[in-house]
Amino acid sequence: MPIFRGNAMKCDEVQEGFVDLLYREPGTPAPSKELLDHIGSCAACRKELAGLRELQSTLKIWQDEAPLRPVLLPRSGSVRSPVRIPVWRAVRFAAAAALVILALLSLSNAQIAWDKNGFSFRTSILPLPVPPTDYYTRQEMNTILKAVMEDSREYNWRMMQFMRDAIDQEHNTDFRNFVRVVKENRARN
Amino acid sequence: MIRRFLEGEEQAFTEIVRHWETKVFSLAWRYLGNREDAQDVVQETFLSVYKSARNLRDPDSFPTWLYRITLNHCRTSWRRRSPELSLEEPVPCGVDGEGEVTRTAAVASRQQDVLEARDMIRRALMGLSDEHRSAILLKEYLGLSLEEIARVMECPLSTAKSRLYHGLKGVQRNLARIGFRP
Repeated sequence: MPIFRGNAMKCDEVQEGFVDLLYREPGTPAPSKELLDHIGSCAACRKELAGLRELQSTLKIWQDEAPLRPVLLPRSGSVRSPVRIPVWRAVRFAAAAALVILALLSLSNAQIAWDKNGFSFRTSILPLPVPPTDYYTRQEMNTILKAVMEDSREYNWRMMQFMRDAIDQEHNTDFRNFVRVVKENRARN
Repeated sequence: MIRRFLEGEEQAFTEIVRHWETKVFSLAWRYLGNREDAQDVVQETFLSVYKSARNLRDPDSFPTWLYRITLNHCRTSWRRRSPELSLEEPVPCGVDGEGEVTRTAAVASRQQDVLEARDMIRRALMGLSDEHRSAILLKEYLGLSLEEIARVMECPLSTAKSRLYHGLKGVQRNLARIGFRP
């Protein structure tokens, strides 16, 4: 590659510029003024550019040709690979589907049960009316709790009395045994 | 045509093959310098297209995608072959089935000149590296833009330009070496 020292641009700096000049593609910026000035003033680059243009027309001698034989077409669906969904996409899809199903079940007030009567699945868009007899009111709960506390207190009191009587009985038994043993010793002596 | 095939219309694939087979064959022949090998590459290329077209996201990019597949098959075929062609190796005309030059003497003579010139070009191209040869084939014979060449070769635009320039210089040098007179 010749180096043209009398110009701002050296010859080896214009290589890519040659490609732009050779092909002048639409939509690409026009060659720079420096490049055109260099080509205008450098005989070596002008000659090289002309040689490349001549080469372009030489290459065109080799024209397109049809294939030697018709391309064998695959039978319909014989080799075409099925659509493969990547694992991560399948997982994401499954998670989204599960969320949608859960949301639908939630919105439809789904009730799923498995008891002695078997499996049952029931849905209703509006909330189910609650039978009043199935639940205690707050007041009823208070009364029940109070009764339980009373029962509990009574039970505890009885238990404590029973324990006290049991201890007294044990104590008396031991004392009676002691007196009996002392009496027997005295009689023996 | 491409969209119809991507949408599942099998018949559209026949149209794709008929529309592109000459381009693909010519690219492979110019790359490999051998018609039979090029024929194999054409077959393999369209089989790959048929199998993996669903991976093509943008139907408008089909040509660059097709040429990339073709060049990949060409490279595989090039590596398989042996021995490699030498620039000095004389390749007689007619070897690749060009023996039909038997018309009038004038036409035959002119055609013979063309065939000889073409064979020299072929040998000059065979002496290039894969990158330089690919760049020239994509630009000079398929008419791709520099941007498209960069996409097919999966390289920056500046690299594509550089490969093209050095490819042209290489062909020029090789033609001079084998005594080509335009």
